[in-house]
Amino acid sequence: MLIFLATIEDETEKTKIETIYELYAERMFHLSFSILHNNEDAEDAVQTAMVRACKHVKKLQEPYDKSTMWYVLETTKNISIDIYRKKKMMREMERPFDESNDGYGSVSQISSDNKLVKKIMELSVNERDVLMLKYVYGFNYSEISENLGMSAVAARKAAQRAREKLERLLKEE
Amino acid sequence: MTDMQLKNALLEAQEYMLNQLPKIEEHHEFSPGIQRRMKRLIRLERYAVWYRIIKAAVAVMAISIILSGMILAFNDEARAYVVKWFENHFAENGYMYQGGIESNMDISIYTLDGIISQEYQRINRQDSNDSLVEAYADENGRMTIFTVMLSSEEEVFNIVADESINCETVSVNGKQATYYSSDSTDESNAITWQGNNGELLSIRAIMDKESLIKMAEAVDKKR
Repeated sequence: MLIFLATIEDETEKTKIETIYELYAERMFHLSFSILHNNEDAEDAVQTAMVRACKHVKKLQEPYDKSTMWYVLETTKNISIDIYRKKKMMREMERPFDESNDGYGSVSQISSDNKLVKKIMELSVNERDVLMLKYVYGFNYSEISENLGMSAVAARKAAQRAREKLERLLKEE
Repeated sequence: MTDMQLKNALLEAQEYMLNQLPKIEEHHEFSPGIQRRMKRLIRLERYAVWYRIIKAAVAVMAISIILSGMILAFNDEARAYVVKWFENHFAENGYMYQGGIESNMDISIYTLDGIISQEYQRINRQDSNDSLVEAYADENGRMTIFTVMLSSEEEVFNIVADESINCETVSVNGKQATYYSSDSTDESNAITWQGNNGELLSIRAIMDKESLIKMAEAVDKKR
Protein backbone atom coordinates (compact mmCIF):
# COMPACT_ATOMS: atom_id res chain seq x y z
CA MET A 1 0.00 0.00 0.00
CA LEU A 2 1.35 3.41 -0.92
CA ILE A 3 0.50 6.72 0.71
CA PHE A 4 1.00 9.92 -1.20
CA LEU A 5 2.14 13.35 -0.08
CA ALA A 6 1.57 16.71 -1.79
CA THR A 7 2.70 20.22 -1.11
CA ILE A 8 0.99 23.51 -1.76
CA GLU A 9 3.05 24.97 -4.58
CA ASP A 10 0.79 27.68 -5.94
CA GLU A 11 0.24 30.64 -3.59
CA THR A 12 -2.77 31.82 -5.63
CA GLU A 13 -4.71 28.72 -4.62
CA LYS A 14 -5.56 29.99 -1.15
CA THR A 15 -8.61 28.37 0.29
CA LYS A 16 -11.69 30.21 1.45
CA ILE A 17 -10.88 29.42 5.08
CA GLU A 18 -7.35 30.66 4.71
CA THR A 19 -8.56 33.97 3.30
CA ILE A 20 -11.25 34.28 5.97
CA TYR A 21 -8.61 33.76 8.64
CA GLU A 22 -6.27 36.34 7.11
CA LEU A 23 -9.05 38.89 6.80
CA TYR A 24 -10.85 38.52 10.10
CA ALA A 25 -8.72 36.70 12.70
CA GLU A 26 -7.53 39.85 14.37
CA ARG A 27 -11.00 41.37 14.44
CA MET A 28 -12.30 38.10 15.88
CA PHE A 29 -9.61 38.19 18.56
CA HIS A 30 -10.44 41.75 19.59
CA LEU A 31 -14.15 40.99 19.76
CA SER A 32 -13.47 37.93 21.90
CA PHE A 33 -11.00 39.80 24.10
CA SER A 34 -13.60 42.48 24.78
CA ILE A 35 -15.69 39.72 26.39
CA LEU A 36 -13.07 37.51 27.98
CA HIS A 37 -10.21 39.93 28.74
CA ASN A 38 -7.73 37.08 28.44
CA ASN A 39 -5.36 36.49 25.49
CA GLU A 40 -5.34 32.71 25.73
CA ASP A 41 -9.09 32.36 26.04
CA ALA A 42 -9.68 34.81 23.22
CA GLU A 43 -7.29 32.91 20.94
CA ASP A 44 -9.03 29.65 21.82
CA ALA A 45 -12.36 31.24 20.94
CA VAL A 46 -10.95 32.36 17.58
CA GLN A 47 -9.67 28.90 16.84
CA THR A 48 -12.98 27.27 17.78
CA ALA A 49 -14.83 29.78 15.62
CA MET A 50 -12.56 28.98 12.68
CA VAL A 51 -13.15 25.25 13.14
CA ARG A 52 -16.88 25.93 13.04
CA ALA A 53 -16.50 28.14 9.98
CA CYS A 54 -14.52 25.35 8.35
CA LYS A 55 -17.37 22.97 8.98
CA HIS A 56 -19.92 25.27 7.35
CA VAL A 57 -17.62 26.88 4.79
CA LYS A 58 -19.79 25.78 1.87
CA LYS A 59 -22.68 27.82 3.21
CA LEU A 60 -20.63 31.00 3.42
CA GLN A 61 -20.32 33.52 0.64
CA GLU A 62 -16.94 34.69 -0.62
CA PRO A 63 -14.46 35.73 2.11
CA TYR A 64 -14.74 39.47 1.34
CA ASP A 65 -18.53 39.38 1.55
CA LYS A 66 -19.87 41.17 4.65
CA SER A 67 -22.17 38.29 5.46
CA THR A 68 -19.09 36.08 5.84
CA MET A 69 -17.51 38.61 8.15
CA TRP A 70 -20.68 38.78 10.20
CA TYR A 71 -20.84 35.00 10.50
CA VAL A 72 -17.29 34.55 11.79
CA LEU A 73 -17.60 37.47 14.20
CA GLU A 74 -20.97 36.37 15.52
CA THR A 75 -19.69 32.82 15.93
CA THR A 76 -16.66 34.13 17.81
CA LYS A 77 -18.91 36.22 20.02
CA ASN A 78 -21.19 33.29 20.86
CA ILE A 79 -18.27 31.02 21.64
CA SER A 80 -16.70 33.71 23.80
CA ILE A 81 -19.92 34.15 25.73
CA ASP A 82 -20.05 30.38 26.31
CA ILE A 83 -16.50 30.46 27.66
CA TYR A 84 -17.39 33.47 29.78
CA ARG A 85 -20.39 31.70 31.30
CA LYS A 86 -18.38 28.57 32.10
CA LYS A 87 -15.66 30.61 33.76
CA LYS A 88 -18.19 32.70 35.59
CA MET A 89 -19.67 29.51 37.03
CA MET A 90 -16.21 28.47 38.12
CA ARG A 91 -15.68 31.98 39.48
CA GLU A 92 -12.72 32.50 37.20
CA MET A 93 -13.95 35.69 35.58
CA GLU A 94 -12.65 38.83 37.17
CA ARG A 95 -14.30 41.29 34.85
CA PRO A 96 -18.05 41.11 34.26
CA PHE A 97 -19.53 41.20 30.79
CA ASP A 98 -22.98 42.49 29.97
CA GLU A 99 -24.50 39.59 28.07
CA SER A 100 -27.23 41.76 26.64
CA ASN A 101 -24.51 43.67 24.78
CA ASP A 102 -24.27 42.12 21.34
CA GLY A 103 -20.68 43.24 20.98
CA TYR A 104 -21.19 45.68 18.12
CA GLY A 105 -21.48 48.81 20.23
CA SER A 106 -24.70 50.77 20.33
CA VAL A 107 -27.09 49.48 17.68
CA SER A 108 -30.23 51.12 19.00
CA GLN A 109 -29.93 54.25 16.88
CA ILE A 110 -30.11 52.68 13.44
CA SER A 111 -30.71 55.23 10.77
CA SER A 112 -32.08 52.93 8.11
CA ASP A 113 -35.31 53.95 6.37
CA ASN A 114 -36.29 50.32 6.18
CA LYS A 115 -38.86 49.60 8.92
CA LEU A 116 -38.11 45.90 8.82
CA VAL A 117 -34.41 46.50 9.43
CA LYS A 118 -35.24 48.67 12.45
CA LYS A 119 -37.51 46.00 13.83
CA ILE A 120 -34.83 43.35 13.32
CA MET A 121 -32.54 45.44 15.50
CA GLU A 122 -35.23 45.43 18.21
CA LEU A 123 -35.15 41.64 18.42
CA SER A 124 -33.07 39.94 21.07
CA VAL A 125 -29.58 38.80 20.06
CA ASN A 126 -30.68 35.16 20.03
CA GLU A 127 -33.77 35.84 17.91
CA ARG A 128 -31.72 37.83 15.44
CA ASP A 129 -29.02 35.15 15.24
CA VAL A 130 -31.55 32.41 14.54
CA LEU A 131 -33.11 34.41 11.71
CA MET A 132 -29.70 35.28 10.27
CA LEU A 133 -28.53 31.68 10.22
CA LYS A 134 -31.77 30.44 8.71
CA TYR A 135 -32.57 33.08 6.12
CA VAL A 136 -29.16 34.47 5.18
CA TYR A 137 -27.01 31.33 5.31
CA GLY A 138 -29.64 28.64 4.78
CA PHE A 139 -28.70 26.64 7.87
CA ASN A 140 -31.10 23.91 8.86
CA TYR A 141 -32.31 23.71 12.45
CA SER A 142 -29.76 21.07 13.37
CA GLU A 143 -26.96 23.36 12.19
CA ILE A 144 -28.53 26.36 13.93
CA SER A 145 -28.74 24.39 17.16
CA GLU A 146 -25.06 23.50 16.90
CA ASN A 147 -24.07 27.09 16.24
CA LEU A 148 -26.15 28.59 19.03
CA GLY A 149 -25.98 25.86 21.65
CA MET A 150 -29.67 25.02 21.70
CA SER A 151 -31.71 22.02 20.61
CA ALA A 152 -33.01 21.81 17.05
CA VAL A 153 -36.57 22.01 18.42
CA ALA A 154 -35.72 25.17 20.36
CA ALA A 155 -34.10 26.63 17.24
CA ARG A 156 -37.24 25.96 15.18
CA LYS A 157 -39.44 27.56 17.84
CA ALA A 158 -37.10 30.54 18.19
CA ALA A 159 -37.18 31.15 14.44
CA GLN A 160 -40.95 30.93 14.36
CA ARG A 161 -41.37 33.25 17.35
CA ALA A 162 -38.86 35.75 15.99
CA ARG A 163 -40.63 35.92 12.67
CA GLU A 164 -44.03 36.29 14.31
CA LYS A 165 -42.61 39.00 16.55
CA LEU A 166 -41.31 40.90 13.52
CA GLU A 167 -44.66 40.71 11.77
CA ARG A 168 -46.38 41.91 14.94
CA LEU A 169 -43.92 44.79 15.40
CA LEU A 170 -44.42 45.84 11.79
CA LYS A 171 -48.19 45.86 12.21
CA GLU A 172 -47.95 47.98 15.35
CA GLU A 173 -46.29 50.80 13.36
CA MET B 1 -43.27 39.70 4.61
CA THR B 2 -41.63 37.32 2.16
CA ASP B 3 -38.50 35.28 2.86
CA MET B 4 -36.57 37.37 0.36
CA GLN B 5 -37.67 40.64 2.01
CA LEU B 6 -36.60 39.24 5.37
CA LYS B 7 -33.26 38.07 3.99
CA ASN B 8 -32.48 41.44 2.41
CA ALA B 9 -33.42 43.22 5.64
CA LEU B 10 -31.23 40.85 7.64
CA LEU B 11 -28.30 41.55 5.31
CA GLU B 12 -28.82 45.29 5.75
CA ALA B 13 -28.93 44.80 9.52
CA GLN B 14 -25.66 42.85 9.34
CA GLU B 15 -23.99 45.68 7.42
CA TYR B 16 -25.22 48.18 9.99
CA MET B 17 -23.87 46.10 12.88
CA LEU B 18 -20.52 45.64 11.18
CA ASN B 19 -20.22 49.39 10.61
CA GLN B 20 -20.58 49.88 14.38
CA LEU B 21 -17.50 47.85 15.17
CA PRO B 22 -14.78 49.91 16.84
CA LYS B 23 -11.46 50.37 15.04
CA ILE B 24 -8.68 48.01 16.05
CA GLU B 25 -6.30 50.12 18.12
CA GLU B 26 -3.60 47.57 18.77
CA HIS B 27 -2.26 44.78 16.56
CA HIS B 28 -2.35 41.34 18.16
CA GLU B 29 0.33 38.79 17.36
CA PHE B 30 -1.18 35.32 17.72
CA SER B 31 0.82 32.88 19.83
CA PRO B 32 2.97 30.25 18.01
CA GLY B 33 0.62 27.52 19.27
CA ILE B 34 -2.47 29.02 17.70
CA GLN B 35 -0.61 29.83 14.48
CA ARG B 36 0.47 26.21 14.24
CA ARG B 37 -3.05 24.94 14.88
CA MET B 38 -4.53 27.34 12.36
CA LYS B 39 -1.95 26.30 9.77
CA ARG B 40 -3.02 22.72 10.31
CA LEU B 41 -6.71 23.59 10.09
CA ILE B 42 -6.14 25.41 6.82
CA ARG B 43 -4.22 22.42 5.48
CA LEU B 44 -6.95 20.06 6.59
CA GLU B 45 -9.59 22.19 4.91
CA ARG B 46 -7.54 22.37 1.77
CA TYR B 47 -7.08 18.63 1.57
CA ALA B 48 -9.97 16.95 3.34
CA VAL B 49 -9.66 13.47 4.74
CA TRP B 50 -7.74 10.44 3.40
CA TYR B 51 -11.09 8.89 3.01
CA ARG B 52 -11.11 8.20 -0.69
CA ILE B 53 -7.47 7.25 -0.80
CA ILE B 54 -7.80 4.80 2.05
CA LYS B 55 -11.10 3.50 0.73
CA ALA B 56 -9.61 3.02 -2.71
CA ALA B 57 -6.52 1.47 -1.19
CA VAL B 58 -8.69 -1.03 0.65
CA ALA B 59 -10.50 -1.78 -2.58
CA VAL B 60 -7.16 -2.37 -4.30
CA MET B 61 -6.05 -4.67 -1.52
CA ALA B 62 -9.33 -6.53 -1.42
CA ILE B 63 -9.32 -7.01 -5.17
CA SER B 64 -5.72 -8.13 -5.21
CA ILE B 65 -6.31 -10.59 -2.40
CA ILE B 66 -9.50 -11.96 -3.90
CA LEU B 67 -8.24 -12.24 -7.47
CA SER B 68 -4.75 -13.40 -6.86
CA GLY B 69 -4.73 -14.60 -3.30
CA MET B 70 -1.45 -12.80 -2.93
CA ILE B 71 -0.51 -9.79 -0.83
CA LEU B 72 0.40 -6.70 -2.81
CA ALA B 73 4.15 -6.35 -2.46
CA PHE B 74 6.33 -3.28 -2.63
CA ASN B 75 8.20 -4.26 -5.76
CA ASP B 76 8.75 -1.73 -8.57
CA GLU B 77 6.16 -3.21 -10.90
CA ALA B 78 3.44 -3.32 -8.27
CA ARG B 79 4.34 0.17 -7.10
CA ALA B 80 4.09 1.55 -10.64
CA TYR B 81 0.72 -0.16 -11.11
CA VAL B 82 -0.76 1.28 -7.92
CA VAL B 83 0.62 4.76 -8.61
CA LYS B 84 -1.01 4.70 -12.04
CA TRP B 85 -4.26 3.43 -10.58
CA PHE B 86 -4.39 6.27 -8.03
CA GLU B 87 -3.40 8.86 -10.61
CA ASN B 88 -6.23 7.82 -12.87
CA HIS B 89 -8.74 8.08 -10.07
CA PHE B 90 -7.56 11.17 -8.24
CA ALA B 91 -5.77 13.33 -10.80
CA GLU B 92 -8.72 15.69 -11.02
CA ASN B 93 -8.77 16.29 -7.27
CA GLY B 94 -5.26 17.44 -6.47
CA TYR B 95 -1.57 17.03 -6.91
CA MET B 96 0.15 13.89 -5.76
CA TYR B 97 3.64 12.64 -5.66
CA GLN B 98 5.06 9.53 -4.10
CA GLY B 99 7.45 10.26 -1.36
CA GLY B 100 8.53 10.36 2.20
CA ILE B 101 11.34 11.90 4.20
CA GLU B 102 14.47 10.52 5.70
CA SER B 103 14.17 9.82 9.38
CA ASN B 104 15.73 7.54 11.91
CA MET B 105 12.38 6.76 13.43
CA ASP B 106 11.38 3.12 13.26
CA ILE B 107 7.66 3.18 12.55
CA SER B 108 7.46 -0.60 12.31
CA ILE B 109 6.85 -0.62 16.08
CA TYR B 110 3.33 0.62 15.43
CA THR B 111 0.51 -1.89 15.27
CA LEU B 112 -3.15 -2.23 16.14
CA ASP B 113 -2.57 -5.81 17.32
CA GLY B 114 -3.64 -6.14 20.93
CA ILE B 115 -5.60 -2.90 20.71
CA ILE B 116 -8.31 -3.54 18.15
CA SER B 117 -11.28 -5.66 19.18
CA GLN B 118 -10.78 -9.41 18.86
CA GLU B 119 -13.62 -9.62 16.35
CA TYR B 120 -11.19 -8.07 13.84
CA GLN B 121 -8.45 -10.15 12.23
CA ARG B 122 -5.45 -8.63 10.52
CA ILE B 123 -5.54 -9.38 6.84
CA ASN B 124 -2.62 -7.35 5.59
CA ARG B 125 0.36 -5.36 6.78
CA GLN B 126 2.80 -3.46 4.61
CA ASP B 127 5.61 -1.35 5.90
CA SER B 128 8.56 0.50 4.43
CA ASN B 129 10.98 3.05 5.83
CA ASP B 130 8.48 5.85 5.67
CA SER B 131 5.03 4.31 5.71
CA LEU B 132 3.07 1.55 7.33
CA VAL B 133 -0.41 0.23 6.61
CA GLU B 134 -2.33 -2.45 8.46
CA ALA B 135 -5.73 -3.72 7.38
CA TYR B 136 -8.14 -5.59 9.63
CA ALA B 137 -11.52 -7.10 8.87
CA ASP B 138 -14.28 -8.61 10.93
CA GLU B 139 -16.48 -11.55 9.91
CA ASN B 140 -18.92 -9.16 8.24
CA GLY B 141 -16.20 -7.74 6.06
CA ARG B 142 -16.03 -4.39 7.85
CA MET B 143 -12.52 -3.01 7.48
CA THR B 144 -10.30 -1.07 9.82
CA ILE B 145 -7.24 0.57 8.28
CA PHE B 146 -4.34 1.86 10.35
CA THR B 147 -1.67 3.98 8.68
CA VAL B 148 1.53 5.60 9.88
CA MET B 149 3.51 7.96 7.73
CA LEU B 150 6.55 10.09 8.35
CA SER B 151 5.98 13.74 7.71
CA SER B 152 7.31 17.18 8.43
CA GLU B 153 5.58 20.46 9.28
CA GLU B 154 6.11 21.73 5.75
CA GLU B 155 4.46 18.81 4.03
CA VAL B 156 0.75 18.63 3.46
CA PHE B 157 -1.06 15.40 3.21
CA ASN B 158 -2.97 14.94 0.02
CA ILE B 159 -6.41 14.23 1.21
CA VAL B 160 -8.98 14.04 -1.50
CA ALA B 161 -11.95 16.27 -0.82
CA ASP B 162 -15.21 14.54 -0.12
CA GLU B 163 -18.31 16.69 0.37
CA SER B 164 -19.95 14.22 2.74
CA ILE B 165 -17.15 14.36 5.32
CA ASN B 166 -17.40 16.41 8.52
CA CYS B 167 -14.30 17.34 10.49
CA GLU B 168 -13.97 18.00 14.24
CA THR B 169 -11.01 18.74 16.50
CA VAL B 170 -10.61 16.16 19.27
CA SER B 171 -7.87 15.14 21.68
CA VAL B 172 -5.64 12.04 21.72
CA ASN B 173 -3.79 11.91 25.02
CA GLY B 174 -3.80 15.69 25.10
CA LYS B 175 -2.57 16.04 21.53
CA GLN B 176 -4.76 17.77 19.01
CA ALA B 177 -6.30 15.30 16.61
CA THR B 178 -8.91 15.48 13.91
CA TYR B 179 -11.95 13.29 13.72
CA TYR B 180 -13.63 12.87 10.35
CA SER B 181 -17.13 11.54 10.17
CA SER B 182 -19.30 10.59 7.30
CA ASP B 183 -22.99 11.43 7.05
CA SER B 184 -23.71 7.78 6.39
CA THR B 185 -23.64 5.15 9.16
CA ASP B 186 -22.47 2.58 6.63
CA GLU B 187 -19.37 4.54 5.78
CA SER B 188 -16.16 4.69 7.78
CA ASN B 189 -15.07 7.46 10.08
CA ALA B 190 -11.43 8.36 10.64
CA ILE B 191 -9.10 9.95 13.15
CA THR B 192 -5.67 11.46 12.41
CA TRP B 193 -3.06 12.79 14.77
CA GLN B 194 0.65 13.48 14.87
CA GLY B 195 3.12 11.54 16.99
CA ASN B 196 6.00 13.09 18.91
CA ASN B 197 8.47 12.49 16.08
CA GLY B 198 6.39 14.09 13.38
CA GLU B 199 4.84 10.87 12.15
CA LEU B 200 1.24 11.10 11.03
CA LEU B 201 -1.06 8.36 12.23
CA SER B 202 -4.58 7.55 11.19
CA ILE B 203 -7.23 4.97 11.90
CA ARG B 204 -10.21 4.53 9.65
CA ALA B 205 -13.09 2.25 10.62
CA ILE B 206 -16.86 1.90 10.84
CA MET B 207 -16.76 2.96 14.46
CA ASP B 208 -17.97 5.93 16.47
CA LYS B 209 -15.85 8.81 17.66
CA GLU B 210 -15.30 7.49 21.18
CA SER B 211 -14.11 4.11 19.93
CA LEU B 212 -11.70 5.68 17.47
CA ILE B 213 -10.31 8.04 20.09
CA LYS B 214 -9.87 5.16 22.53
CA MET B 215 -7.95 3.12 19.95
CA ALA B 216 -5.83 6.10 18.96
CA GLU B 217 -4.94 6.78 22.58
CA ALA B 218 -3.98 3.15 23.10
CA VAL B 219 -1.74 3.23 20.02
CA ASP B 220 -0.23 6.50 21.13
CA LYS B 221 0.54 5.16 24.63
CA LYS B 222 1.83 1.81 23.44
CA ARG B 223 4.58 3.14 21.10
